[in-house]
Amino acid sequence: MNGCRVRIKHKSFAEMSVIRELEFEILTDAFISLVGPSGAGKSTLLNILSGLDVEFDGSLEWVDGGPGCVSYVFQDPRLMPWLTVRENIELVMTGANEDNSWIDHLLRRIELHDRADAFPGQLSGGMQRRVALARAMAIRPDILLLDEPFSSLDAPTAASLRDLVLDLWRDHSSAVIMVTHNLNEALELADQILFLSKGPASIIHEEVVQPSRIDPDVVRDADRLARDLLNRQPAILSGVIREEGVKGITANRG
Amino acid sequence: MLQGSNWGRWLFLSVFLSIWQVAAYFLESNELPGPLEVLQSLWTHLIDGDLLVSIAVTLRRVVLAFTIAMLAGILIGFLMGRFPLIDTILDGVLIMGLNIPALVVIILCYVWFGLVEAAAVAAVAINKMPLVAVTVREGVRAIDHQLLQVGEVFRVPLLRRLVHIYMPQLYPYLMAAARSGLSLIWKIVLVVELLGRSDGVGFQLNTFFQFFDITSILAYTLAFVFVIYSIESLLMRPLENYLTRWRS
Repeated sequence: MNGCRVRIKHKSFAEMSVIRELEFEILTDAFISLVGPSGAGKSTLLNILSGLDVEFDGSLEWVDGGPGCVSYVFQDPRLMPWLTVRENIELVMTGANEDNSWIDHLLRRIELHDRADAFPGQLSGGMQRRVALARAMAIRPDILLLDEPFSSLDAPTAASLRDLVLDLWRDHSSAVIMVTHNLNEALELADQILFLSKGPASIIHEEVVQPSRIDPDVVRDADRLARDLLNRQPAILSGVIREEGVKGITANRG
Repeated sequence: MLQGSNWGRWLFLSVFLSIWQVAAYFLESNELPGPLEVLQSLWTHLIDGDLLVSIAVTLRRVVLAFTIAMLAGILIGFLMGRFPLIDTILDGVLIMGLNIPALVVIILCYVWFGLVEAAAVAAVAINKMPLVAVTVREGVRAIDHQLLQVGEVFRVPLLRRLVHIYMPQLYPYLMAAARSGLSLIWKIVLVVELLGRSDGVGFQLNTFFQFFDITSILAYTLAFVFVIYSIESLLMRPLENYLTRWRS
């Protein structure tokens, strides 16, 4: 994949406009975070990118003709409770992708190789998220969509899952689009942050975060980056993120 | 705990048989033979061969009617649950099917198609089918669409989607339909045999009734109960345990 140009002129549900004039480019190896308040149409945008929602005015233009291979880690793991960990991963693999050694590799990466025959109900919430992530990587996607992947996890579990996402992204050259309402999370992981307005969603600010996290040695101070950003863009950001939300994030990470 | 519940079950059975035996002893009536007498009769019918033949004939009808009712009921229930238009069209017919007395359907089948095997099986299947359709319709309505989206996003092939995402969500409903279906079909098959067939358990019971042979009626009932328990413990329960093993 050489990238995809997203052009959404308009998307509405019934009479309510959800997205308007939203345009951005997804390059190979990009790690883009979409940040915006609740109801900004972030999940709708992911549904459009994943092909779940095709009723919109606009286009997804794949540079190499596409459509590219897109996978999705939903906000909740959405594992089939009647399938084992291994079977859940196998479920999405087809044809050339069906490769036991690839599944074994993924299971080792998520550190659940010894739980391959367990059912999701026998795993913790964090483990289930890891399986959902492995399932998404199993099809070797061009674009990996993550919808609030670390929400409702305790801090250590969220931190280890963030590391796992970064490792998988670096190793498997997928572009990542991550939706979050957590500014610190976006600043810690993404190389590019798109700030969305409250619905109908459009991009009101684009932030390129340096140095790139494609380099495994890079460690970012998300708190400092957040303070810098708030100083530079107070007007835009106050319209995007509620003040108490940002404080909460900073306090949590402090 | 499990041993405790088994112990209780055997205790209840022993008390029940004792009361039955005592009542039969004091009444000294042909209308209430004792359990030992019934067991002797069961053995005699077993040796004579008529019991096994009758049960085999009835079982064949049960299996046929059950299969037809399940297949048709699943198809209709699936379509009604999936497509609101079909649900609107067929809902009235379904309610009618659920409430028409079984006897009416049996009589009409015999009148319209004659006293033949096909009419007997059809009458049973028609009686059962609406119940399967309703149960499956509710199952389809309760399908978790978020799980279906997983199949959609990852472009899981249709057959695999059906087997691994759709059907497991319907299994509890299918098991409920199968269980209630079997219990209903047993009862209706006997009526169908009693009214218009010259073999099977229902026919035999009618013959015993003509002679007021209560001992044989109870012996046949006992054998029948044994068959039902066997199906439940050898087929239904293991199948259910297998399909819901992920819950344990």
